[in-house]
Amino acid sequence: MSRFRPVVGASEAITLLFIFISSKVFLTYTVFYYHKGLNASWVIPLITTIAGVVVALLLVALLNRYPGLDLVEIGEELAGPYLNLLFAFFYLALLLLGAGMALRGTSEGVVSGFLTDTPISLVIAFFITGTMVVSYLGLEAVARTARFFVSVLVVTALVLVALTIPLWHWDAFFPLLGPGPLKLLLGSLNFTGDFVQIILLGLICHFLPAGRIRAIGVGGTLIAGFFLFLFTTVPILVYDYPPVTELMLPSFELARIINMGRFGQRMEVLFVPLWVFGNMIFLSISYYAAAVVLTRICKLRDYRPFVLAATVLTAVIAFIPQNVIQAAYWSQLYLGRYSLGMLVAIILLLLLISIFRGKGGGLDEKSN
Amino acid sequence: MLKYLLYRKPSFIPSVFESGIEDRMDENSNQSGGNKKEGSAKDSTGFGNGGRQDQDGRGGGKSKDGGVKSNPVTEKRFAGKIAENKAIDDIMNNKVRLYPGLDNNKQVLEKIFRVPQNKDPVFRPISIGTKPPTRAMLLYLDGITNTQLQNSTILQPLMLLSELRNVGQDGGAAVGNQDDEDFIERIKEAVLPSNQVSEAETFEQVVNDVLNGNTALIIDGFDRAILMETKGWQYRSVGKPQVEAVIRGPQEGFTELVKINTTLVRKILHRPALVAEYVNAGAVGPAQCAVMYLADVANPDLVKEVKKRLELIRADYLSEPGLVEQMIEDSPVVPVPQVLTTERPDRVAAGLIEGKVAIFINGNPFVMLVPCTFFNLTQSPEDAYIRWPAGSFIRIIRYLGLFMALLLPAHYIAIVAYHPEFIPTDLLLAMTGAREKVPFPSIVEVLVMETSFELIREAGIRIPGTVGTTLGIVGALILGQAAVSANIVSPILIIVVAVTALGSFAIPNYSFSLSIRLLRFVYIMLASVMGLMGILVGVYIHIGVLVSLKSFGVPFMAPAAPVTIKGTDYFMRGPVWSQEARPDYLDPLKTRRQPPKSRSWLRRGRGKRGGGGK
Amino acid sequence: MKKVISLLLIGFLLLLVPGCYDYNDPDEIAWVLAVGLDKGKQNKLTVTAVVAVPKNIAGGGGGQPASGGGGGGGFFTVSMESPTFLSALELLDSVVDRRADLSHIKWFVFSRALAEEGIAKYIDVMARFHQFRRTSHIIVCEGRTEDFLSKGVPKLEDNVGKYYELLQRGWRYTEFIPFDTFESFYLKSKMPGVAPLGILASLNRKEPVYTGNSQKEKGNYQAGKIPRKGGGELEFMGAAIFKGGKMIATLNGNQVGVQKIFDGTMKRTFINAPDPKHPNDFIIVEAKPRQNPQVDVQIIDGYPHIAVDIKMEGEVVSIQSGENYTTPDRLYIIENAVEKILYKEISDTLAKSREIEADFLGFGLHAKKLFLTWPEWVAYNWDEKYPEATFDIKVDYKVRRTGLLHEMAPLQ
Repeated sequence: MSRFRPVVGASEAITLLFIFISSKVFLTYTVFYYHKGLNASWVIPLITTIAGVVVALLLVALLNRYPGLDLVEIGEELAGPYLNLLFAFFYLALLLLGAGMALRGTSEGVVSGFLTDTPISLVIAFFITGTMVVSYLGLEAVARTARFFVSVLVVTALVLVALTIPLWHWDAFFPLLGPGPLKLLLGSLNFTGDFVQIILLGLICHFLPAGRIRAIGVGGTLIAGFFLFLFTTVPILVYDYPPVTELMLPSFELARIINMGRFGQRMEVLFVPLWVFGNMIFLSISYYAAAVVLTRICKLRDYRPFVLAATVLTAVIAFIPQNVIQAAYWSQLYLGRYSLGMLVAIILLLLLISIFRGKGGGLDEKSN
Repeated sequence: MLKYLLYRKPSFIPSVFESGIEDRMDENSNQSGGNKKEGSAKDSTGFGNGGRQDQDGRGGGKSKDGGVKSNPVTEKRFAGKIAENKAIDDIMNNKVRLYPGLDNNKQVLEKIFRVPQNKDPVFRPISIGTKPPTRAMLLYLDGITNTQLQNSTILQPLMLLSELRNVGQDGGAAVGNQDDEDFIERIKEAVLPSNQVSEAETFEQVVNDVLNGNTALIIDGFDRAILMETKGWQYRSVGKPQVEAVIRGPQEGFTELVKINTTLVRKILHRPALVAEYVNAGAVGPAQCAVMYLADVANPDLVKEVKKRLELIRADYLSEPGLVEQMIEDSPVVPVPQVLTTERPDRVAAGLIEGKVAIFINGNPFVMLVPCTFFNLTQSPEDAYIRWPAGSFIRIIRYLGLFMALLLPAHYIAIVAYHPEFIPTDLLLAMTGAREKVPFPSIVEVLVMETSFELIREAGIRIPGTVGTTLGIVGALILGQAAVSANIVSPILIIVVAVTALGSFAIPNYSFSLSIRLLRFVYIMLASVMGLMGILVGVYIHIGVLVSLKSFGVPFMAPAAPVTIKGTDYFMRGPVWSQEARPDYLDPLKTRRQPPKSRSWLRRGRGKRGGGGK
Repeated sequence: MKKVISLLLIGFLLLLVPGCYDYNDPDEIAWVLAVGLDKGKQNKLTVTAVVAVPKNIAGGGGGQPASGGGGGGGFFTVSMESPTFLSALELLDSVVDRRADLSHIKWFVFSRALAEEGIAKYIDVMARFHQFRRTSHIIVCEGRTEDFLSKGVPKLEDNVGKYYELLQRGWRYTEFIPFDTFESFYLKSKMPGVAPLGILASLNRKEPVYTGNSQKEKGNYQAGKIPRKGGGELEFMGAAIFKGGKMIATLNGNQVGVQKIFDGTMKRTFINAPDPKHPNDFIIVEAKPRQNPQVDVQIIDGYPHIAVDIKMEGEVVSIQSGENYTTPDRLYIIENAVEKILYKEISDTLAKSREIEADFLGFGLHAKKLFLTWPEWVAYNWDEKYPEATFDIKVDYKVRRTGLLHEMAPLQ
């Protein structure tokens, strides 16, 4: 009867993907846009979204050639175990570094905005506990938690944006071209890595409804692009160009600036769920995905032993940067700038090998 | 301990809906769920050596579960008694057949019923008025049988009228099996005007039936007994529902007798497909359970699963749905009810029509509906009986109440102690001023007031009769007023506690409300440590656990997470005519409830009414 | 699995035991509602903090009825000499028993002397320190801030915080109080092409401001120069213009009104227009902006030429002369009179902005649209070119309604 019902439905998968990609708008990432794109930075997410969609399509093309296998298994099939180990470590590094920096960024945000006297280790411990429990419960739990919270998140995010509408200055868009078209285009290439989280699609693909992976990938990327665009543009509209580059946490500042008369001020507390849940879902997904990669590397059948490992690694990585500035710059340097290019290189390599080998090379027989 | 922290083989919760593939890559999906569950329970609890055989063997009395050792001194002192009990249990369990001789049977049955001491079983020797008269014996338990019925439908026809009906033992051929059958058939068919008559061949059947208030007729020379329906015990009549009162809608509640309860549902659902299967749950004092479902709607897998779980319960005594519930629910650790307990026949009927399965336990006015989702727990039958905008409104109020009951005190702590910048200045200064003379931190205030309120609530239930209802009001009022004027708590806190209490009363399901009240304290602790951040992390874990919870294979948070096809009746209450499909997560045999145009009179020229099942 | 979860949760709860780092009950905190900065007497700065006294405001905890004290504000001020802003607040903790919390600050008050010296180094902390809010307001007061804050006792409110908020909220119904939060002050001081302004305020002046009772425009006043008797101790009117972090000029009420028209924060105002036929009488109308002001900037010969088009509408409030202007064919007389006075006010204000070389009307934000890229815009150096700008002003006023009178009969 419903024996073949997929574990993660299409809407859940899209939710997972778009939260995984776009939860970084709540951190410092987008501020770097303003350094490159000046007051025309709103163009950057549009360009990177296109890049993200292209990569999603490439990835789906690869995945669809080998239904039932995920990215690591396909790599093993096509590139052999040794080369694939390198690839897998690259995926692992992406996931863990992303999670570590997000964990550090979120906790630093909490400490500098809300709990100023609390040691950051306690905040990190709180986040880790919550996120680990959910990722330990499995992909279903993560996906459903994300799906359950997504309406809250989206509504809160849109309310946050809507409440700042009285503060928008449309003249902030001018001069229209910002730093000039060429610089804008080249600058936005620095941020393609914001969509590197598309890799999640390659890791959970066999839990997704068959035949809808492409729609999920493209849909998730586009929604994520929309939110990136929204949370890049609104700070420009509210804060105008030169001051906007100063902000540490643009979305937090947006909430602090809301002013609806005497009663409706100082409302950032109302938007705490947005930042906390958004980032916790991101972390849960990261742990799960990292655990899956580790599972595939070790050729085990269950991901659970690795959730704790991924968590510990993430916590360690979160504490490596000396300060919050370093954490922000590292995530931009190491994740934002080159990671998508490397991912594309891997996908293209695998695709080429698969085309050379001819289709159906390893479709039916089990490789190991 | 460490073993658990690091890695455990994933245990597989049986589910009718195959999902969670990753959890069971290595499991054979064809293995039956129930057994697996039992197996995993063994592993984890260490009661593995118990098993069912052992337990059954000792079911007689003193010893408890298999793993629990009985006292050796007791065993020694009462060795004879224990041996005797064991012998009797063997007779029952091994399904020993009745003897052909009446005296033998009587002896055994007397032993089983411990007759010299036990005065309730009645062994009434009679002679059936045939030519020649046949010796026979009636066995019943005094007090739970209907004496009048026995006199008129058993004794009278057997002793006086059997001759008229031309029943003879020496009717045809020689004494043989054929004739035996013939004789008993004749008695059943022609003599006994009782409305339910059956035959039994083993002592176990006889004993169980007699225990249920029936009368057994054992005839000399036959190794079979005739069982006749003579139940006649005392019971409460059908009354108003005590817990789930509604303003509109039927005012009938279940009562203690399973038969009457099933009847109450049949009274609403006149359908031949309404099946009531009877299952005994438990070993020593088996509870008679009825599993009721619509055969043409409910998913057969679900029905099978429910019956399997009930049948495989090994326990002494399960008299209350609450006990059975703990035996059959998927995740006993999670503090949230996973079956819907109701005392309203209309609610059961509505559930059955959706494709759910109802479990009736004899002796109890509460009926379990499975599977149960979060949204079922927050709904009241009344939502459906009033018009849909009002129903939706009431539901919103109820979700608000749920939120208040669970999180309001925690938010109070978090905002007052961690995020005071959120409070408007006027209010903040007023609150600060009101707190000036209060000697406790806010968290202590909240804990004191919440605890005393829980105390009032508990006491209000325990205090008998009319005093109870007044106690709640008086206690809360006087306590609150006194606490404020003694400067022990600040006035605003009284409002918080009162609203919290109102919120918890607005939750329609009692056990759900209980679990919310419990979790409230967890959230208060979290809030006192990390403010809003603590609450949010708590909520995150809470939701994570809830969404991975399953109730009889149905995800607890369905249809919100995972997303299934939603009707208009899960979060809000949609109009009745738009509720065209049964809940998708139940996977019923018939998905459509009513045609797209259920109000066919809207179309002119159509005399026939739409509706019905298909 | 359940065991693991419960174990984790228990471990998690154990973590909580040493927690509560940030736990503070509100009655252990001193709520600071305003801070004032002034030139120091014994150190670089004099910092004045207004601390609320909640038990006076709440009308006493416990038994006493919440009577309130008939105004009085329920606050005290502490003035401290210190080298920097936040170090003074650190000092505050040694003077006040409760921990000072700044998150409910409504006003940052600078004395005029300090503002003219430059406040750039003090506004960074307001944007950076988490307890400060960008929704609070920058106020420039005449005289010393410690007097301004300590003598500013509200007449109507028990809560001085409410007094501060309501006083500032006058921007909604009078043109004389500029709407500028710290946020917009901060943004404008960071952006090329617009100059920030703060609210000008003062204590009530004891001696008379003017001699003689000749006719003066009501909007010609500004804080500290409002001729009055009675009322609250504080007065808000006019604005202080900043450039490069220094206060360079003040605006009177009418100029603030014009600034608000161009800023888009003008809600309504009354306009006294001289009656063209009766020189001693006024026509009083209510005016509201009909649409956003049209500003068209062109760069001619390297210098800006700014064409502004103001469209307003409103209601006739009073015609002192009793002349019947409210017929369709005579309404233009009112409209022309109002347009004339509006034109005068606007051109005065534009002249002022050129004179002080600060574009507080924000024409630079319109000029930005003429440039394609940001470097070009910065290279144009608007602030230098603006004083040489030429203007072209168009004012259009339409009477929409005439109040409760239809047409007026003359006095007999």
